[in-house]
Amino acid sequence: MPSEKVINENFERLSADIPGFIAASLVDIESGMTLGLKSNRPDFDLAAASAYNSEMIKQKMKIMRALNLKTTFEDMIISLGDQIHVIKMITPGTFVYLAADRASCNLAIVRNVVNRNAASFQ
Amino acid sequence: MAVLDREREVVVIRVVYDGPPEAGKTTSLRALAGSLGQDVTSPAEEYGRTLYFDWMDYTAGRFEGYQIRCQIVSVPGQAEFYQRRWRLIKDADVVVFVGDSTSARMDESMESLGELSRFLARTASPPVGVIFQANKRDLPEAMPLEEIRKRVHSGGSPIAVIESVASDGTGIRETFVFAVRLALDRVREQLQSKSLPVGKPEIESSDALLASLRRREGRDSSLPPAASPSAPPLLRQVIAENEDPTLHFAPWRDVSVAVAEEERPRSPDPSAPSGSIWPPVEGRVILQEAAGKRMSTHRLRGGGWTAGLGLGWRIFSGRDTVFQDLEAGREVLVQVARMHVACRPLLSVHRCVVLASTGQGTWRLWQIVRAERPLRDRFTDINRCSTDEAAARIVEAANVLCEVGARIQQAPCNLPCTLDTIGYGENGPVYVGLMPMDVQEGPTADVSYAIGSQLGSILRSALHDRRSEVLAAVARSLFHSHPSDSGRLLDEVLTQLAAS
Repeated sequence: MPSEKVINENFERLSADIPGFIAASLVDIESGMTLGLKSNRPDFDLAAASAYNSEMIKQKMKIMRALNLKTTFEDMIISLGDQIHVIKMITPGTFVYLAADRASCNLAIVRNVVNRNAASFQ
Repeated sequence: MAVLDREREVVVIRVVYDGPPEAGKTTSLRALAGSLGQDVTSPAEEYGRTLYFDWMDYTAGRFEGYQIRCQIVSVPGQAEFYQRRWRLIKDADVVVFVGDSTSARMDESMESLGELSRFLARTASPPVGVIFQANKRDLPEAMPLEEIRKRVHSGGSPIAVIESVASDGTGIRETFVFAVRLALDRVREQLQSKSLPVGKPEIESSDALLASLRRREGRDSSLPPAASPSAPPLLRQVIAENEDPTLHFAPWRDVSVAVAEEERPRSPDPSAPSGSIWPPVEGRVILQEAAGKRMSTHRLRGGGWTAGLGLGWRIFSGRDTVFQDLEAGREVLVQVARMHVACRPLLSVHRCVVLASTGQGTWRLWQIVRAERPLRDRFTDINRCSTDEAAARIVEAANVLCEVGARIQQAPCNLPCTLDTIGYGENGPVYVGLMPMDVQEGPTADVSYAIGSQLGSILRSALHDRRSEVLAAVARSLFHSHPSDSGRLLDEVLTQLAAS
């Protein structure tokens, strides 16, 4: 895993490349704890969002097992009324969670930038 | 000390930062606080030194639907507060041991770590995970990481090593998150064994902890006495005795076969989910140590897979231990874990079993065993030994094979008894090889084969030039010792060799 400094630099890059970037974190799935984060909006509770999203991933993995799906979980894209949330698996134990303002960007840009930078979080 | 507070829907865990004086405990806690946006409270400080503890409260993450509330405490490092240190560690769910990793202070760190391990081994159940946070890695005199690992592991307990520079925050958060995972593994064990306390935690603030400490001081006789300054550096002695010359021991290295990259399964790594590692807490620590980084896997001629060659661990997966789904793999993991438990007194300590994703939609069961010294190592330089020394080693190996072989006969599974699978663990001779993945699998413990064929082969080849002198010395040694099974078997070997 990269150092926290490198993780923060990666988030700086995401923030610069995604118009409407709100917040992002690298999260440990098992505990829901953040390994690094960046937020441009103080009212966005990134720690809570990261923890609940780790629960969501665990549930999704249970669903995949229940459906006997022999494939990998790559990412999750969630469109809210005014935000886009992306969850990108980095390793089997960690994921990047990112929120962006829907008025300033679109799904394709967010997904593309996250995918392009995913390897640097490994 | 973990408590499940159902009313507030939180699970409270205690993360304790321990370590020798001025190793960087408080600096680590402050760096962590900075990274998490929290405050650190130190009830009493003198010239910047911690007198009681440093305290930080941090709520984040989720566990089984509950919020995780971490009480993060560092102990005072100064020798005069020795008893206070144990009182704080007694309530830990995980310990981050901050060690000064510079060459000059490494002995001190090791001595303190040894004390911690012995204390936890005596008091904690289920076991408390320990992480060695190798601090001050930015200093030019910092000891190489491999050397640190070797020394930390020679202490006996399974301890993960993570590098840090507390002064600039490097490695601090990573260590903390790993510590939380270890604590949660312990909590899960307590949940399963129904031993997890439920209710409101007794201590919820720095003030409450201080009051509790002050109440307990002076009337707790279960703690170890303060270390005598003149006490021999036991740990140093243990380390010296356990220097592991088999760091690169990997007997299957020469039988790996070429294979396309896409066919290789992913090696196991510490991200394996809870419930897929045995034993739950020590297993994750071993996994972090042995397979902290993704490694290339190699196929063996027999169809199995290995990884991390030459790193002091045997990481192995059998040809058939691959599963289409996690549940099927878990069933076998449980069986294998039961077999390990049943054989535990026979086995070397540092081993775990992991069910890990192959990255190809399947799951593979891996065994990770630290490469302990096998009996065969006693014979690597035997041609340079005196005749009496060579004979003594042969008699010693025969005795060990017979002793462990007799115990292995009682095991619920078949374990091979050879010069390569029997060796010296921390508490004497043990089985150091890989475990079979099936109760029926594996050859039986044939001690006469090991003595007759393997020791006989050493006598024939390595000691070829002075075979008759060594044979005579072995015979003399047997003549002067009590009659035993090993003596009888060796006697048979001598007769055969003399006739050949």
